Amino acid sequence: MNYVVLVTAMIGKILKIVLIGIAVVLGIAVVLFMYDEHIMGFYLLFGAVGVGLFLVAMQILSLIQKEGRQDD
Amino acid sequence: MIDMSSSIANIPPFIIYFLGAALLPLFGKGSARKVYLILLAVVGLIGVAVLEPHVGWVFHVVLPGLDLTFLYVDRLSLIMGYIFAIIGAAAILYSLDLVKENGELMCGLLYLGSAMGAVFAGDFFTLYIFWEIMAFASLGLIWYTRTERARNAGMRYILFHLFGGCALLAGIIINYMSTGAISLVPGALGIAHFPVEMGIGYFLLLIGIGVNTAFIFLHTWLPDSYPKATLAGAVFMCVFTTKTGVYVLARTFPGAEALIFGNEIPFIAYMGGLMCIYGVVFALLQNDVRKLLSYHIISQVGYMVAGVGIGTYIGINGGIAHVFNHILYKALLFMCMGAVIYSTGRMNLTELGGLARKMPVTTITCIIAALSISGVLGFNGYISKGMIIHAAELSHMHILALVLMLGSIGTFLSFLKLTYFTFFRRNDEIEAKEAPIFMLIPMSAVAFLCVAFGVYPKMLYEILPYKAEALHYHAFALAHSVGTVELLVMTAFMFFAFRVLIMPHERITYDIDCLYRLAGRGIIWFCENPLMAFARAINRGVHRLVDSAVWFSRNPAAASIVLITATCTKLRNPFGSEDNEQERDLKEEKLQLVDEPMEKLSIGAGVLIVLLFFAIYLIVMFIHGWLAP
Repeated sequence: MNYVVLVTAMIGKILKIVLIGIAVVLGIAVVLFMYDEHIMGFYLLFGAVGVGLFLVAMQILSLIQKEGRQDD
Repeated sequence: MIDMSSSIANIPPFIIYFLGAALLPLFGKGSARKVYLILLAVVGLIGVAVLEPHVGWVFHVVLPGLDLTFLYVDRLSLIMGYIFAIIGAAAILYSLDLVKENGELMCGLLYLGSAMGAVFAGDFFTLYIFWEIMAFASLGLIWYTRTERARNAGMRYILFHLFGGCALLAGIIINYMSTGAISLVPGALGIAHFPVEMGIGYFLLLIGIGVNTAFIFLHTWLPDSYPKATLAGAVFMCVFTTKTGVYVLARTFPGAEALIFGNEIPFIAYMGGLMCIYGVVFALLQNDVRKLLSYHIISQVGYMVAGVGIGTYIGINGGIAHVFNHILYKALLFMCMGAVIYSTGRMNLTELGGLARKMPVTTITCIIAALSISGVLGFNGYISKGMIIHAAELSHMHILALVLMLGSIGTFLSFLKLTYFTFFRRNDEIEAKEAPIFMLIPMSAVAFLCVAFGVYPKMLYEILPYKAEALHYHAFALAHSVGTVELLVMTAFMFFAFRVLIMPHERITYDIDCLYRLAGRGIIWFCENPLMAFARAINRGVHRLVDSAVWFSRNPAAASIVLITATCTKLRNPFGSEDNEQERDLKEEKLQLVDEPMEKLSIGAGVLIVLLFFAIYLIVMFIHGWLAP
């Protein structure tokens, strides 16, 4: 009985993984074939570079900051 | 004489709010006031909803061509009126429990009414009148905080706005004198045809509008004053001043270009890009939650200015759509932070945290507002930001498009910081409870609108100035959607990876205003020292001149003799003090002169002198005529 339950649960997990895999592959395929320029990772790269730029800007501006409460 | 040739429905909305403010003290401070304010908010909404495209309420003044038009309704003014009325109603509801003093509420209502008056004004002079009322009414919202900081910030605020108002008025007059244009009613030419002639008038108009729109270098009043306004006052203030500026910019300078290094550059659009980045960078450095939001107003207004500066139909649509959306989520953010400050008494990120469980409604609405301002798919900011970036790409302004996308990254980064450090970071010390129901109702309603306009943007397209062009825009195009998701997912990942670097600190951040303050101190020193010394020297000189004239007039003949003697003495001995006795005698003579009886000339001698002068005059004239070709 336990054996049957275990096998059923395993089949369920495998089915889930297969379904998620199919969805991911289909999603990538759609993006790849229809909007290939975006799957190249331009926006991912731009996001990383952008955050880096802001971090650098913050570090530079922190040089002209003064310790104390933000006030007049 | 006033021409009110319009239906009863077309009443200028400012009348409703001005009247509402005037009658408010009659209702005391109890539940009657609450009912009255709710009714006023509803009447205000209805008053704007029933407006139809129309020109009315024209006040004929004496000078020809100088009619004051108090109601000009077209698609551009209507969308501004709609959003002002919606958020005005939300702000009134938010104030019901929060605001105790009628004076503060009256300032808020006057501010709302004057903003309505400005966007429905049919000419520049009427606009200017409401522009100035806005400045003084909003000043009240700062001063009602009743702290030293607020008083000082309010003074700086009004100085800035008086400067901007003077520049605007001078620009209007100069432009009127050169072009004869004063009316904002364009007829069949579109929403923005106002002729502005290049020159000093153009420059002054731009400065006047730029102060309210918070152009960089003219922006410092905004992060200085908004965090010091009252909790409800900040909700009013974040809506009207800058957005009215964008509205006037859309009327006067859409797609304006200037010749820079031999190229026609759409400088307003690039100013928008600069505002976008500048505001975000400074927002990231802030610890005071409302100061962070204030810097984000500059950044978000940058998107609007960029859209208007691009000047195409889709650009102007995008700019105005962003005005609409921004008002919703920015007011919501100020409401949420107001609720946090109300409940905790703390306003710095370093002191906050752990509020997610204690203030769940505030947390959820704040997250919705943060996602909206960050341009996340499914929220209203996504629609209008995308429209502006799309307009930039269509106009081949690729650098501007990248700058605006960079602004999106920074915005998401700083709102991850705000929400994380306010609501989710562990803080066991903090004690708080959820805000009162009258604060939560408008917050929830505005949050709902942020999602509604984000999911179903056609509602917004229907009311944009160029409806047909708006309906052709595909907000949910797969490329744009995927790109946005990629951008924001990477930003979120980077935030959590480098959270330590973005942590808030208790530090003072210097902005350009520290230069203005230095310059101000320099001007005060210059006035107190060199200028006052110069003034004192002039004063002494004038006194001596007057004394000499008085002395001479008492006895001209004797005085002349003394003067001639003194001159001769000086000529004989120009350097020395050898003949001191003679000088002493002269001084004594000068003193005695006053007491001596005056020698009088006869009338004949007087006539002779006059004739002599007349003869000299004739001779000079004769020689002049003789020498002339």
